[in-house]
Amino acid sequence: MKKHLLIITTCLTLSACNSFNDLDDVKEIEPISVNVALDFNIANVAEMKDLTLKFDNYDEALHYEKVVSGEQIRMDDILPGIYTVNVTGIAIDTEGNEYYLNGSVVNQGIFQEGSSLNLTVKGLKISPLVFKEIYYACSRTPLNKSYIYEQFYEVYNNSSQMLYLDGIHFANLYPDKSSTKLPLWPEEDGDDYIYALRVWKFPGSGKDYPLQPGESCVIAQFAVNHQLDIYNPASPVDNSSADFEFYMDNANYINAPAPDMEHVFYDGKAEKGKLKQYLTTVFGGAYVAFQVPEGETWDPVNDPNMQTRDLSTTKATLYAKVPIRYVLDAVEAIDNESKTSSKRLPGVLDAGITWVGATYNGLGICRKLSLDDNGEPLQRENGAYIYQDTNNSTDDFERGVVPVLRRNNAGMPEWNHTLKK
Amino acid sequence: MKYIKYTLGLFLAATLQANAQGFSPAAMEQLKMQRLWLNSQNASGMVFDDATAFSNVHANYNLQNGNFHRPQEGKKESTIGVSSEGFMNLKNALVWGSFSFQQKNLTDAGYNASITDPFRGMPYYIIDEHQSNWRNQYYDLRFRASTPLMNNRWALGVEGIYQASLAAKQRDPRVDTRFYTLKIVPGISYQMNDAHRIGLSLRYESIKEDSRMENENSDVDQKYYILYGLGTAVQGIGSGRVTNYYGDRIGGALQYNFQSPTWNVLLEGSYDIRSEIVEQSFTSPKKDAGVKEKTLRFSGTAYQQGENYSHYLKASYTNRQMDGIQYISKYDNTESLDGWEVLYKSIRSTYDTQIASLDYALMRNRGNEYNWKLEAGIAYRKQNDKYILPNSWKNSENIFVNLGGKKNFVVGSKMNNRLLLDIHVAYKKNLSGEYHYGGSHANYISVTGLETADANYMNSDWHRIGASLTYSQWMKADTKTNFFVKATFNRLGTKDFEYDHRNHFSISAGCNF
Repeated sequence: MKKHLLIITTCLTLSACNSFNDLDDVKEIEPISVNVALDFNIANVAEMKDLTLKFDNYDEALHYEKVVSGEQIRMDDILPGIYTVNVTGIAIDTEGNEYYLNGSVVNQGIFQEGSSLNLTVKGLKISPLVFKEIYYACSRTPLNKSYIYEQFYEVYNNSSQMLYLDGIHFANLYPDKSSTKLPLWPEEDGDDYIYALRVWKFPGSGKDYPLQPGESCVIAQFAVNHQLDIYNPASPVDNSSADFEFYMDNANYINAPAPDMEHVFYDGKAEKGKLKQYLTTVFGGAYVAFQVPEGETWDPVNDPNMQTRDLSTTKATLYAKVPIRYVLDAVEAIDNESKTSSKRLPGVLDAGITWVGATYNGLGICRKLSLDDNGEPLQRENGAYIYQDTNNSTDDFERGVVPVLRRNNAGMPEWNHTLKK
Repeated sequence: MKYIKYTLGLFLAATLQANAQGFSPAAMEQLKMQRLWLNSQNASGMVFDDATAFSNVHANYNLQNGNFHRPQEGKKESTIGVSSEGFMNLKNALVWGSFSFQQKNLTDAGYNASITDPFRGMPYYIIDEHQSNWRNQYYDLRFRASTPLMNNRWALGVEGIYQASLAAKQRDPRVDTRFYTLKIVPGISYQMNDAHRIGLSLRYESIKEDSRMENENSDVDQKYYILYGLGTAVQGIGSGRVTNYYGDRIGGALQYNFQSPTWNVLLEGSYDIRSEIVEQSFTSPKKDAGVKEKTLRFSGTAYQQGENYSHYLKASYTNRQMDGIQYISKYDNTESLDGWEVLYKSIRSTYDTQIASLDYALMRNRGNEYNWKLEAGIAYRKQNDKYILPNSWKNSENIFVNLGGKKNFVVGSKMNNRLLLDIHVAYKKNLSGEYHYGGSHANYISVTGLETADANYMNSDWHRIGASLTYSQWMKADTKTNFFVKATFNRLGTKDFEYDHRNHFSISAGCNF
């Protein structure tokens, strides 16, 4: 009895110290000033324009923005919090190439008056290939069961030049579902890589799959008409016209007529593994399209330098290291706006985030059309729409839209399997 | 649990061993009203109260419905329970104890998905969009023990209170939440002479709530909102979260008592501080928020016992200031730490409450009970809540007036038959009040639903009219066990905002020993 009383008394005393000590001398919140130093790491820049510094505290939906010039900037009246800080703009090099400028830090705690931030500003060549529409949230059946086979990803040639999809890679990044517990990657990687959970690539020998300006290519998780009674009559999509399919060699599902994407990497191997389907998180993942430059080799299965573990855990799962300079386009989706402190992609790839706000709601995200000063969509000479691409998916995407394949009459490539019949 | 059983056993023993006094409900009410120290924070002062033993036990059923309620309350709430209380003088010690168990069923309660009592002074909890039923249980166990007066000067005493509540929300996102508090209040009192006494009591309270949310239907992720005060919220999707609330309260009180053959006056001042931390998850704890509350109370109670009439007067003032503190934490996944690191904390919101009240009662004496009783009271309450940046505020200022009368009819004398009729009216006048939200996501239900509706409720004028009827008699003339049955009905009416009324009905039956 005495022992029990002693334990109770000790626990009570310790617990008393704990909560009182923790909340002692806490002061009222006050706005602070932050000094930002920009270090431009770009060669042969002839012109920079639209340089904007943004502080985004997504948890509290606090956003501060300032058009800047010069390398030393002071932002006043910032509330302490966790911020994603971005400086964005456009650079044009001496050869006339346009680059996105981005310097960013994500999940940065800013809470002291006079805090200093150093941002290295890099350039990423503006990609002709962009994600145009992504449907990841899935839907429900008429019996209110979750239906998880209908995801698709649509890429679009947003340029004025034809491009070839052959060999272009598609990957979803780790962690699949956003988390505030971000992985720990090798320190020596710096900010030069992103880390893929699974990698696919378009088949072809180099010029088999051309994509004309204004044409889309749809890659479906399962390229069938999901609105059929045998699947889910309540599904918003018919994926039977998809250009490619992520087929996982699962005998329980038919291999739809759409050609299969080539599997490249999963957990250190080229094999697809035991999963029966390629289902990315219905909460919203981080997706990239990238291309290995000519003359370079990228082999994450056989090259240990292109693999790594998450060093924050003891798990042996291997992830593929993708050099950031390979990336053509990237989009980061998350649960909702409150999860943005879980950002996985560096700002140079996607300075924002997007979401549909719920799971199994049959809604997706689609890229906005670029508009002229009169609010009319911009079109190329061949009638192709030009889509907004500011490298910020928060701004560039409509959220919570009913998914549509080839929205706005995007062209279907001539090699689509449905056109060969 | 063992300690609860010991304490419960001690109390039951006290109850059963007490000699039956046959108190009518009016006598029991009068007896407790006279015991000023029993209503103070100092258990040692029981020695200065009348030491007549008493005990009672009763069962109750309460029902309330109507749309005039705070948004987190149920459209309909029914409670069934048992309560018991007893006091006895063991010569070497004075002992008082009470026990209560209540099972409460809420129907269509809104704006709470995580906490047993959203009104307990904890602004950090989780809400969802759906109304839900709740099944709640409340346990309340108290004891007081005091030494007799030592050397005709000193008395030592202690009060212990253990309260536990279990609440279960019945719709996804569900929650199983358990609240516990254990209070220990040791006290000492000193008799300067036959008329003047002083007392000192200290208070320690341990607070704990363990809230675990989940979805029964894992196919459907639910939308929920984590509240940070005055409508500020962060939206989440999924099955919710596990939240660990833990805290402490410490404080002290001073008492002064004057007693003469006809007058009994007790003045008391107390001050206590509560700190409570809100942590997310047990496996990877993340400090999310906390509150620090300072409460100052003054009260003065006077009881004047005349030959024919008795007077009771109580004045009290409470000033509560609470700071809402939010943490900024970041997950550190390096091997050396691997957990959430607190980067910064600051006071983001403040909650100030002032309450002043004055109550008077005039009683026509009849033996150990009253023949009739008139009651009047007035209270003033001011609430001033603020979210500092971005600035939001919610305030209200109200005045309450109540009048009542009780008539204790003698229906029969042989078995002490009584019929106690109580009629009372009250009126609340709102003097001022406003809710302004200046933060982000003004379209969230935490703003448009919860806080707006709560501000409307707080700023409504209302009137209440009610009555109760209690019949009592001894069960047997020789044992003097007094059986009673009581029915009460109250109706709150209002025409403000979208509200109309709230009815309260209760029936209880029990025995006074």
